[in-house]
Amino acid sequence: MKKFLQDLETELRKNNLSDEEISEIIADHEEMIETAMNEGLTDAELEKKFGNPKEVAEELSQFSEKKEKGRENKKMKRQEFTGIEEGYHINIGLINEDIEFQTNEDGKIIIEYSGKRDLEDYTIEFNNNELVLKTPKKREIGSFFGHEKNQFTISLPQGLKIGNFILKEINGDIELAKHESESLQLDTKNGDLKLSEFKTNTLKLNTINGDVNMEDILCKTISVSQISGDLQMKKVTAIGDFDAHSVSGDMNFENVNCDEFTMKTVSGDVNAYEFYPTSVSLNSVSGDITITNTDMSKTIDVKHERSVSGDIKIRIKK
Amino acid sequence: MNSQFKRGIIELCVLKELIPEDMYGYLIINSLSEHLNVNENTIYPILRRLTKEGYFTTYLKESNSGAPRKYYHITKKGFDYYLSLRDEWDDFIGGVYVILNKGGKKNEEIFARFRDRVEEE
Repeated sequence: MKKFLQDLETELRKNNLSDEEISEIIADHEEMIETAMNEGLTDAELEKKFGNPKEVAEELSQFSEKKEKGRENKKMKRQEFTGIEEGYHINIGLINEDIEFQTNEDGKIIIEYSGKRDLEDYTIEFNNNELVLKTPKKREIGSFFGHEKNQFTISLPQGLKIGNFILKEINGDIELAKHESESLQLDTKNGDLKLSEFKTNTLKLNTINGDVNMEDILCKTISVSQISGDLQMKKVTAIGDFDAHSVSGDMNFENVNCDEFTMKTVSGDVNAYEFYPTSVSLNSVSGDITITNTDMSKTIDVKHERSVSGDIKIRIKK
Repeated sequence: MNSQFKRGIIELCVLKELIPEDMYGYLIINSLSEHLNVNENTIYPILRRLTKEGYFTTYLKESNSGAPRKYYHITKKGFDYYLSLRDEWDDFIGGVYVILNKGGKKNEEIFARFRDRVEEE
């Protein structure tokens, strides 16, 4: 098995791994081979168990630190756009990328990307005052169990109002804060969403499994639909109506104000604390809906209330 | 089998093996290869990567034969990762079985239907 270790070292060097990595990997293998030999494995058995040094080396080189070139496999790329005018639109559709939004005072859109792909693989354009960011056309086969950890950081001009903001994401997490737009449409599937300090006219959110956290939101109308993820809302004010749908996810509201509130839930529970809509229509199959308020001067007009087996309670607590 | 897919499944198995007890590399390989056709080539890189990601920590412990062995210990982060992979796997395999079991579980039944259909044409 000495040959295995020698070959492994040669292959690791070929793959440009750092000396530190190589000595660690070799030590690990010496230990494993020694253990195997102590157990009395024959050469043929050993060979079968340890396989091909070339394959291990290639596999290891995919995430190991390289000599000289450093962390080149973790690419960081950047793209900037200028000439952004108020009311610019944003249209983003991604699959496996986390997205974090930031602000800058230079009136630019700055996109930074770190991940395994090339930034050129993505569609990134700014035309007719619209930012378009779309996922690569050639998808990696088997990305289902893949470990693509791709991250976009998108910095938007501070104080410049956005027009229509459309954001679709499948698996990545999203953090969006401190902006204002005409409309905001968010479609997420498995990733989590954190939305805070945001002002918009119409807010539409569709989500499947991801958890959603909203705080400090001001809007005209809001509509939220979720399947099994949970939703947390804090300090949200809608001047107009608020529509909410849930299948099995729970919803928690705290300090939420709106005009007419329409809730439909199958089995998800709704828990609201300091929740002051002017009127409510509540529909539940088996989920409980509880509203607990302390301000006695604000009354809630119950337009409609129906439940099969869930409890609906609206109470004032001193 | 698609290698990335296979890797994901083995990753799930490695994580699971380390939940009840800390183990050293060779033991993990042995334990998995009892049930799956895998060898060191597949498992060692996974151990190393998951350690780098902070899902495992390692420590050295003397063995009976004297030479110290590197033990792998799963972290809370690793356990959470296991849960998310497990969910993903259950979802996926559940869906696969729904498709495969449509119109009967037994190959004979499926073949009988297929034969009838072909004969009708």
